[in-house]
Amino acid sequence: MSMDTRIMGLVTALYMAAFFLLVIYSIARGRIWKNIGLTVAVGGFALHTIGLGMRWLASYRLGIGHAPLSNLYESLVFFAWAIVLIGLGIARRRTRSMTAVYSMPAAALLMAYASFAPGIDSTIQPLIPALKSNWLAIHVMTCFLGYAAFVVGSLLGIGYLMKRKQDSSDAAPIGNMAYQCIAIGFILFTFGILTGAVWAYAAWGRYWGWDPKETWALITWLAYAATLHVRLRDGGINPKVVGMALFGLACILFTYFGVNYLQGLHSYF
Amino acid sequence: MQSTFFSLKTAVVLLLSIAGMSILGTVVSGLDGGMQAQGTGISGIWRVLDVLHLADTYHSPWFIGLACLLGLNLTGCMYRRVRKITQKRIPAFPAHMKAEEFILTDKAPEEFLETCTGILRKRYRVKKTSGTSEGWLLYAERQRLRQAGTFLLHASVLIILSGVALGALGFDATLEIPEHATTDRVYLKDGMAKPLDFQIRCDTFDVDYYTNGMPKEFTTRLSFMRANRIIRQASLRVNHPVVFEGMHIYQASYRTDGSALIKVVDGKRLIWVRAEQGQIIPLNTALRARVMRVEQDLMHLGPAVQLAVEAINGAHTVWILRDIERMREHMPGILERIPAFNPSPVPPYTFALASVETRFSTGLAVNSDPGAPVAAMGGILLMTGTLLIFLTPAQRIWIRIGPLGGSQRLSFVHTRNGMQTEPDRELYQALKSLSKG
Repeated sequence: MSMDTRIMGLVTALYMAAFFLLVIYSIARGRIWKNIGLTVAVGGFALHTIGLGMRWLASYRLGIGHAPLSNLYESLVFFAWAIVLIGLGIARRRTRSMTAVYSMPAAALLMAYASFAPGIDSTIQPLIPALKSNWLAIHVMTCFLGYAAFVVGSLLGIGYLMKRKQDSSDAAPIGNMAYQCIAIGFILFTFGILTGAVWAYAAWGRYWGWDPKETWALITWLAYAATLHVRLRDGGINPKVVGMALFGLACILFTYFGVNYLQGLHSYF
Repeated sequence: MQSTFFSLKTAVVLLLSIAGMSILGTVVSGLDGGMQAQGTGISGIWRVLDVLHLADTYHSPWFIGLACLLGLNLTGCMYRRVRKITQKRIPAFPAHMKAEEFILTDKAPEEFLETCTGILRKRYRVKKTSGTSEGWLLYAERQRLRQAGTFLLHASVLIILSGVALGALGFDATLEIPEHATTDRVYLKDGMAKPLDFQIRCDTFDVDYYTNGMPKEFTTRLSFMRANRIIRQASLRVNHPVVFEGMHIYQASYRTDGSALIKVVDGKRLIWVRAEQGQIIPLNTALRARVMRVEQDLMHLGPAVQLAVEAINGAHTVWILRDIERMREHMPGILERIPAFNPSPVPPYTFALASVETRFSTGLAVNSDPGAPVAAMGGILLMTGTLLIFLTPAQRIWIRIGPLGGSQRLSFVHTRNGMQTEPDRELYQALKSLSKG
């Protein structure tokens, strides 16, 4: 097992620990739990970043240097990193524990899946000719950052519904953060789809080919476009908007995991 | 009717309908692949899809119809929005929001109105109204960039749809050229040949490998010719297409064709056969040998050819190695240990391999899409519009001055991106300075 995969194992444990500490905080309300939980989360993220950097460097040492985004393992690890980045980065100091409590389990689950799912190869492989392009990093990064923002936004939507039920004053800030995440996700994902179209034009001669991954990316984009329009029409976030966002989340899950079972040109992710 | 169709609600319904249709499209294409894999051919489901014109979902009248309806909805919504922005009427004071209120000093309302206008004009576009039954209303906004972004984003969708429609005038084709061969036609998706007014020759095709055996790079060296005269030569790699006379040519695939010179001895006579992969060598009326594979180097054992010697009662598959005699000298008993290397699988026939030749064929995709520049322009506008909508603020402020007892009352509501917020400190202080207290 290489050093970076060992680090990723530790990162998974730290994210789980941070989640449990923040859950304790949300129940017991002791400030100490919040501080320890956020410290563990930030520490896990720092270690995660170091792990990704080490993997990138290791690929250069092997003489096949490329960004760690070339197969399912690497994309899962980056996806988890992006979720934590958005989860910790979007919130203001006052609301950081709220976003962290929703992003930590998602990141930990992805990391655990990358480590334990059968058939996922964690070794650093050279790039196949189709992936040898400068567009690889920019397209995959923007798409996954977009997915991550959508995931955090949709999970915060669930949080909004839960808080709303309790008639708590916390509901409104969570709802606003959910919207902000979805808006950021929409910007990034739009850019991701467009860079993918440019790359597809360069590599395959057409900017759009109805490949299953492309089509499901469009479905995801349409789902979140509809979510934003419903929010605009209703003048704010409400259960209907959250429902649409959760439909979008289901689309993301299928785009990422389900589509791999269909024959397509993106089968390496 | 008109206002229902050109509404946000209809836009949402259309967006979700297109999403639903796209989901159906991926299911149908999966069904197609699955049926082909199972060899089940056209089933009942397939016939229903065919009758409903859904077999090619993304090009079906339903899908195109939905895209056209979305285009129409967008056009109508954009028209309504532009009209709303340009007309003089100002939006009503938002009664559902909780207004901030001050009691003003004893000046005439018009004076306050002028002062407020002066304060707001520094950063807002002020739209004033004359007095109403409830008092004087002043409305100001700061959202021009956002409005431009909304317009650009929606216009970009129309432009992209136009680009897609223009793309129907182009073509998608493929061709396969063996090394050193020349062709002057490509094949469209429906299998029809499309003649070119020039020739393409594949000079060489090379595959580079990583040390672990994975392919690293595919490179085709092409010559474009007219009347057998070379006009241009180009090197083609994956992700590095060549553009020639408006056509984009891409490296899509490759194929290896092998041929072998095989010696067949039946005890009495000896024959030499030059056979290609898939070719059948007749041995007698009941026996024949089929060339299954031709390998330049089989697991570092040198050139080899895989033969299936087919008899009535079954087939024997063997590898005929060119260097088998040398191997037998170095490894006595190899044929007993590995019967698949036995050159005499069916006596009295004995096979020997003299030489192997392999030849690559390069697989190219050739496309012409006159709509691509239009779609690209749409893509740029889509991104610009998205950034303007989400990254530029939309600030609106309503100020109402009306009588309250013997004094004047100032009520104001400030929104940012549709949500009620406090105005910035400077503006708040400026408005507060008008109050009595």
